[in-house]
Amino acid sequence: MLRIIYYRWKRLIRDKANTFWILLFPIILGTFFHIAFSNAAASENMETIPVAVILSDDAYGDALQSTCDSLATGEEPFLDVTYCDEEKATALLEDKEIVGMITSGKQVTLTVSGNMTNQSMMQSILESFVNEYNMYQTVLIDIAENHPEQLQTAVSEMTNDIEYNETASLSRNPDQNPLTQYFYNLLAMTCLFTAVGGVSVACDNQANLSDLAMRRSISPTHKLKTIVGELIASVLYEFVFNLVGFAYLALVLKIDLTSRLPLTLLTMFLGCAVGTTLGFCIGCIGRMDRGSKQGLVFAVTMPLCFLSGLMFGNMMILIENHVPILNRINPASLLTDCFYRLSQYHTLTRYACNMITLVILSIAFCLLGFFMTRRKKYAQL
Amino acid sequence: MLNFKTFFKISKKYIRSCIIYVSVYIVLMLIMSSLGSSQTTDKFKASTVDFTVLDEDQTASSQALIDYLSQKHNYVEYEENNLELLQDNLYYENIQYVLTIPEGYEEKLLAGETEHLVSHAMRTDSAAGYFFNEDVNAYFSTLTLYLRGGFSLDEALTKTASTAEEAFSSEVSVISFEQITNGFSKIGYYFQYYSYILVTVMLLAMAPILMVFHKKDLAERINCSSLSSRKRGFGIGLGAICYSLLLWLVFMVASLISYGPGKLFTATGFMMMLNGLALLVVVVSLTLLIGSFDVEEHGLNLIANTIGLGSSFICGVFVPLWMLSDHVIAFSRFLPFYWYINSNNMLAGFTDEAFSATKYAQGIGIQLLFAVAFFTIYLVVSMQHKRKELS
Repeated sequence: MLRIIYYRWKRLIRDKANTFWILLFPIILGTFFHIAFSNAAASENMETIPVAVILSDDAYGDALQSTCDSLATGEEPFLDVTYCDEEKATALLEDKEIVGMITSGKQVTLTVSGNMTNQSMMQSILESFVNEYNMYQTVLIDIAENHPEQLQTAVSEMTNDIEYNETASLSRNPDQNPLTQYFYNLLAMTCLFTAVGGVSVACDNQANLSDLAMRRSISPTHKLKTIVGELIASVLYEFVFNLVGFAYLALVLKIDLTSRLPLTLLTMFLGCAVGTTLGFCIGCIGRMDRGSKQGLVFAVTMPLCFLSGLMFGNMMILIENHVPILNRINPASLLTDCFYRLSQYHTLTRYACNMITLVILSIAFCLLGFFMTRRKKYAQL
Repeated sequence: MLNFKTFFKISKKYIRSCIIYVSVYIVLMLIMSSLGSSQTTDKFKASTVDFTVLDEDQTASSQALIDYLSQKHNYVEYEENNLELLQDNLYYENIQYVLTIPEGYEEKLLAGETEHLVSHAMRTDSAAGYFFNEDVNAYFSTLTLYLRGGFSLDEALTKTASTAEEAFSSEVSVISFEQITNGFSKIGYYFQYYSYILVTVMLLAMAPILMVFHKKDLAERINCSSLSSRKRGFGIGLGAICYSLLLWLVFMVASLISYGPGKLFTATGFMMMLNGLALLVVVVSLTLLIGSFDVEEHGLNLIANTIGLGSSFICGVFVPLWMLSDHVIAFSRFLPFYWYINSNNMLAGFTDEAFSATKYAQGIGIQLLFAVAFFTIYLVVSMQHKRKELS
């Protein structure tokens, strides 16, 4: 068995082009991901919101004006205010010069444009500002009417910045960038792409596909022994190379992947095992040549990765809400979920479930593949 | 024409994997476009947040807070509040916000302590959670004002509730100035993902055919034939063009079947198709270039996915262009896919900018320039290959 593993390794490493690409694949893609998401932190900066304010000739108007003035000053002001009449404001809104127009009154009202979908965030911020303003206005009027002596205390209270509602995240690692999810997906993908190694194992044991397999078919070694040995070698080989990619992501790009490191590595190892056995299973189907089988592997693994959210971060959520069973059996989702749980959850019940599913899947793929290849006879080669 | 015929003879050998790729990726593309268009229906609307409360205080005050929040948002109650369950629900966006009202909340209010009255957990990427936070803060600010203003706790609670009701009832008015062109959004997304799919499928399906011509034995055999190199290149090039046009046609037919001629055969639809055709030219020249290297099937698969996914992430296919930082955009300008997506965004109305014919023509022109650049590199590389073979 050790000899089988050793020779498989030797053959794998001699295939320089493949080794190169397996090594480079997560590194290049990781870099691309890193570049694409580098803006995430910057986008959280508050931008000044341009608004038009339409004032009425009463106390409400004065109050709104003084509030807006105070919000429009400072180094990074909240608002950029233009005072004008309704006609001008509508024109400004149409030209997309402003995000919304605010009209004073007993209840301040907000008008936004339906054609500025990209500004929906700013529109919502404005809405929330207007709501808050209306509430304050009502309170102060109420106090002035009922307890005028307390008005001064109340107003001074307004300037106090008190944190009423503190953050108490439920997760282990609350500061993690939510886009780290994409890197979990990337890891899951590199794990599943080891399937190509599995296809090679399958093809190297089918006498109609390679000369090596012809030689092997007449040797007395038990097929199961050869295949298991080769699969082990293949998994180890791919795991080692994936580790390099993982190290690059974690150490060079500084992506937060290292919490519960031993378990993360175990997950990756299991991921490689599932990938390789999946490839082996696909490789054993039918009589297609090596190229078609490799194509088939990609045609299977890419959709799996898609379903786990590689291209759309929300994919897994969507599936969970419609066809949750898919998330329980899709190896890419299971792996992504495992990485996520390791970093974010205190309890690991579901993680354990996922890992057990992965083990069961690997064994099932392995057995399925083996049942398809065993006892094959060739009349002529 | 000998090489042209050979091209299609080889392609016949690869037809099975080609069909697999094309059908799988078309299905993916259709799913993606329907997902993409469902995601961007976020025209301005007051966002309702699904939230849950861990009420450890169980007093009239805590109930008042829950009632206030339920006015605008959707209160989800769980029978059992275990942490993993809540975290799962937060993750799967069944709820977006978990508010904890600790024991002694009412006592604190009565004593006039207002700091850290409650605590919350939400998804860090949740904008809805941010606005919910604002609502919670507004509640406490108002309540505190009433308390400081000399009202009793009961009075303050009722008054805050009525104030909030009044404030929430004033709706935001939305004016629409121009017809929103979202009618194209579905097909716009189809063409957006077309960029990713086209690169991947072309590299996976066509590059292997081209690589056969560079296999050592075959290349040497062709070289010693009487066929001039110009004729040979012409034959292969023509084959590649016909083959890629066939693939393009398949994609267009797929979109025709899914969206109907009413959407596709419009001015905008034709412009999108033309834009797609320009990208096809780029991708063909890129494929010719990559196909001139002798890479194993496995390596090719990885190259195709790296180029396809990588360019899609930084050129605005999977992550919208406005989300990318200026540095990234500055870099992606050096890739043809950026120009393709830029024009497509404009056509589909994904950006606020109006359609401009000059910009559209510019986008196509730049793509064609990229095609020329790739083709030139391809020529240089194949010349060098030949020199190597001869020496």
